[in-house]
Amino acid sequence: MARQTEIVSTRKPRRYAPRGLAIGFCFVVAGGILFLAIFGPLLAPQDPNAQHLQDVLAGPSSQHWLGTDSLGRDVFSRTIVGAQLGVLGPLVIAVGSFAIGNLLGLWAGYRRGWVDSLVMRWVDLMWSVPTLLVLVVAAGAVGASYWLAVGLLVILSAPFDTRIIRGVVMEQVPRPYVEAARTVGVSGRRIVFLHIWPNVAPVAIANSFLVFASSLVALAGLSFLGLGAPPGTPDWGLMLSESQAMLFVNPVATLAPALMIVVTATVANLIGDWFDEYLTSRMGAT
Amino acid sequence: MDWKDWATFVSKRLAALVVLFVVLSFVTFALMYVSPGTVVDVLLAGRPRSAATVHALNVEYHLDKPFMVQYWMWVRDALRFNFGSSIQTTLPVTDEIKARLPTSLLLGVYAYVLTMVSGIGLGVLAAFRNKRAVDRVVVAGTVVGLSMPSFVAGVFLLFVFAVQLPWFPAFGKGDGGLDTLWHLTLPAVALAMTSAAYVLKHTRAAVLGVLQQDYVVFARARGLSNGRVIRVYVLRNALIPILTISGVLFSYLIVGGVLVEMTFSIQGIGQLLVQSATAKDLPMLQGVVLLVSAVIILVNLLTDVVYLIADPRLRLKHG
Amino acid sequence: MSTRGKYRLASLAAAALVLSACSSGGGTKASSDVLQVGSSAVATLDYSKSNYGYANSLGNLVLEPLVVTKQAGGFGPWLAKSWTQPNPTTYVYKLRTDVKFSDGQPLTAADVVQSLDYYKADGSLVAFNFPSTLKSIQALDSSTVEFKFSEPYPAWNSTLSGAALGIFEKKFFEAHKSTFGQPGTGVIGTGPWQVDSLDATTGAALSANKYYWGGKVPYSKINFSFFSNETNEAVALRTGEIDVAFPQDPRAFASTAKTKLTTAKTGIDKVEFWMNTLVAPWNDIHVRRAVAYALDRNALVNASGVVGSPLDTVIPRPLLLQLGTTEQVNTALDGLREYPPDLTKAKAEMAQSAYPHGTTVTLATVKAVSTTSQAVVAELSAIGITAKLETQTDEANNAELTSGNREAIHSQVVPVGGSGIDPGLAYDYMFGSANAKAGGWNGTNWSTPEVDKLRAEGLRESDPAKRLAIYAQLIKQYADAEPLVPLYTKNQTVALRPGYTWPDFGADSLFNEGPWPLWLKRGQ
Repeated sequence: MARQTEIVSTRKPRRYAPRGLAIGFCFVVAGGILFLAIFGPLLAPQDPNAQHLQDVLAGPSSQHWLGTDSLGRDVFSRTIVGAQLGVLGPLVIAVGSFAIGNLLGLWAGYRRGWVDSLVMRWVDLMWSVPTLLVLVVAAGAVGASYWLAVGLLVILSAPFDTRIIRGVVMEQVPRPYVEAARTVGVSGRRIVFLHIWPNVAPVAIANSFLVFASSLVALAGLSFLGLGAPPGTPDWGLMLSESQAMLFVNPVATLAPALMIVVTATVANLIGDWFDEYLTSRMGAT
Repeated sequence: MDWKDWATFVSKRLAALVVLFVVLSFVTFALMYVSPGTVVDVLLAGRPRSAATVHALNVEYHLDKPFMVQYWMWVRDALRFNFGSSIQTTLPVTDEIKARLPTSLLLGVYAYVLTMVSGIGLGVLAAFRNKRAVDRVVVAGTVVGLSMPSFVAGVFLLFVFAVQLPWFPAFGKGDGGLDTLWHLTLPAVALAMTSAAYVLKHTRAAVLGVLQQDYVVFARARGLSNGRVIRVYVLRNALIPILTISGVLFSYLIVGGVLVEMTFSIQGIGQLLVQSATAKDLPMLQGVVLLVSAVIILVNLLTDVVYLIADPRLRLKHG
Repeated sequence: MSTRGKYRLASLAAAALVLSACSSGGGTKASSDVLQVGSSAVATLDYSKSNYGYANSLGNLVLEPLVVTKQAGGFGPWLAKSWTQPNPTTYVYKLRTDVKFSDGQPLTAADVVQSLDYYKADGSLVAFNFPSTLKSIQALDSSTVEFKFSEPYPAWNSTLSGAALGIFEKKFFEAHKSTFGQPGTGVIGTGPWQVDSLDATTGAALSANKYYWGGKVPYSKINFSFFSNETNEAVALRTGEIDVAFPQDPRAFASTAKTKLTTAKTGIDKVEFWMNTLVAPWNDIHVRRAVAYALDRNALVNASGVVGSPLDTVIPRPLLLQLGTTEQVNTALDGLREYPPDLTKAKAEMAQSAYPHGTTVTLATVKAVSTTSQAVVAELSAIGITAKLETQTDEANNAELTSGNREAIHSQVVPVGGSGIDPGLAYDYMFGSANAKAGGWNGTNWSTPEVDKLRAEGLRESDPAKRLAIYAQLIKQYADAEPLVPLYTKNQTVALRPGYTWPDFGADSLFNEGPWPLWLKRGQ
């Protein structure tokens, strides 16, 4: 049984997650980015929105480590403060789709029947909707809006969580401990949340990191197209697209936000993999 | 699975396609309808406007009709495969799409081939060299590649390989044939980066899994060459999971093309999507949205069918 | 409002001279008389349906206007060789008789009437060029066209010189009505080049019109490549894939293309800060004056990344030079209230206002001027005005500005396109109480009976000196009430690959385009 589901499973393959030092390093970097996201405005050496119109597009100097942008704003400070939006949006999406996905997944996986088929039809439908297409159409109609994009991504990522959670729940339901709880007369709600969910949680958490990483990339892409964060926001994707045209004047101004996007997404992906491998194998043993 | 199961399977999926068409077209229509400003405001832009001209344009684009009537008029034409004319360019939507689709498909296929060749090749290599230097380098590259958005890769590829080292052209789709491939190389590489890393990761894991199976250990113990082991035992067994994700990948490449096309100024469907969405070019936008979702659903369907054929265990399960 | 509608001017600087210079300086290699041009996409040359044709420098090479503006001021002949005004409301134009279309057919008055009637029809995007006082367009004989108005309209030559009113062949139009202008059909014009092929997505190929009435042209072939993104266009210029481009974002373009730009000294596309006088705090004149003192135009030009000239008048001074010399213009503008950047004065005005401790406002903007808007927000904060920036889509902004709810937009940084080069006509559509209603562009909603009177008189008056006095008066009225702060004009720029020069570009006070490759030179 276990082997057969393994083959059908769409879950990520094993033996890829970082170990030891590497994962420690990932957590340190993630902690650093989180720290920037929370305390960025305090840490930034200059006001990220302060303009120096006499000193636009300057190269790196002792005063502006990464130079200035077209309004003479300090790129270094903006990159630091950019962590805020860079982390916040994807975090909201990861948490939002975690909540929706877990509720629906548990419900559908445990109850089965019409609930299950209804939820799964919805999942299938959303599954075949291309995310970027929806984001571009919505932003084109309503205008660039970061939070609209975040909202849409919550809705579009939730089916991803739902499908995975439901799968894991269905694996758990036939197990003896569920049967036992049922015979003792524990209520369905208690079984789902107190007995099944703790066994499902590691997968769900691991998955959330992947949702985080992919949302980060999606939001940055939308900002890059000019359809995400409004002009002037210290947002990595927007900074990249604005500084792209000035790549020859000050390359580090383009490099810095690009690097932040890649590093943050990489770290989130690696931590997700690590969670998946270690936590699930440990929990699975029980 | 007999032919009856197949028929239900395929027709169910096609029914889903129709439902999706209706939902998407309606939502797109409604979004454009409720968002501030109309196509008349796009066309007349900042010019002085007379009431007569505004009225004439409103009538021409049926903006004077109620929402549901407008939608119904569109559906009626769309059912006859008449998607109208683009408001921006005045050309028939189908012509515009036809002119751009080959480029986008070629870009997608090019990136797909790059993905598969490099992903599977390096994945097998890394698995066979497990925990050696090659493996570690490949894995490290994959880790970054997985999180490298195509537009970031695109910007830097453009900077390095089109400007600093002018080996590749900086824009456009070329004049057909080899020239087009030449033009699409950098965009395809940018687009393939993430997906290749993804395939690599899966291939490496799958091959490692197979390599630990008794029959492979035995085959190697018998002294069969690596090449033969790969061909006969490893690939056949390891590739089934790769096949499943390959369909998803193709959809990803088609949609992900939007960002790459914008970065490299390639006249493809993605560019058309962004342009028509930002210019409220509703007929064009509807056409593109339906086309892209149709391609994605059909590719997914195709993958599932191939997968069902390839893996008999699933057929049993479905039956 | 106007990167969208770039009203390119078709005044041709001493074209005949340039022409002869070009044709005599022949002897170039066969391969070197091909010109590669970069531009945004052109999907159709039917100007009534899309402005991309003439705004992207392509249509001008094929379709020519009746008259052109002259470098020295005033108007010169082009397809029309002369004109008369038999009575104050009638204008009669005599056409050249040696002009042939690129298919060899001669140009007749019927072609002119057909073209202008088509452009004037309801629903045409260029219909705004024709005033409601125009009563009829008629061919008197095969080479004479008569325009009848209900009242004098001295700006008519200025309208006819617009690039948007290029004359096309009637016979061809009638044979291809449904696909007129589109790829595969195109248009037949009298210009120095003809369109051989047009592909809405990739580019266009043009070749010399062998029937061209101006003689031999300097480039036997011109290829257009269409770009959706200026960075790629700049890279293409840098790597030699294109020779010429007209960048919208010149600073970034120049750095990426590694080239110096050739720049005109002025333009008719302005950027302004509009304050809606119907709503607080903008209904307080002290606040408006404080803003005028607070905004540093030079710094804003620098921030915007465009090549621009700071503005101090609602009608740019260079436009007034059509009505008088620099000295006369300066004398007429004597006593103009000026607002040099001065924070002390700005704060003093704020202290006098109803908001001595500052206030909060919303400031709308569109993507084209978002950088300038951000700089404006920063400068406003220096006088205690906290502005919340709202970036809108172009169409949402257009819809709100022209809606019946005149209080929809409180203040905004707005690109204002000039609809022609006539000093009165160019921005007439934003002046006066008639435009402060649904459908009108007066976003400040400010007007006085005197402004309305000046507007009407200015367009009827044909004496330049009197017109100058009228417009100087109008400018002063605006400066006194300051419902808007003129910021800068966006000046036309061209990026050329090394080896090309455009000697007359920007030499003229008003940039002109026309069949521009005629005066684009390849270096020795």
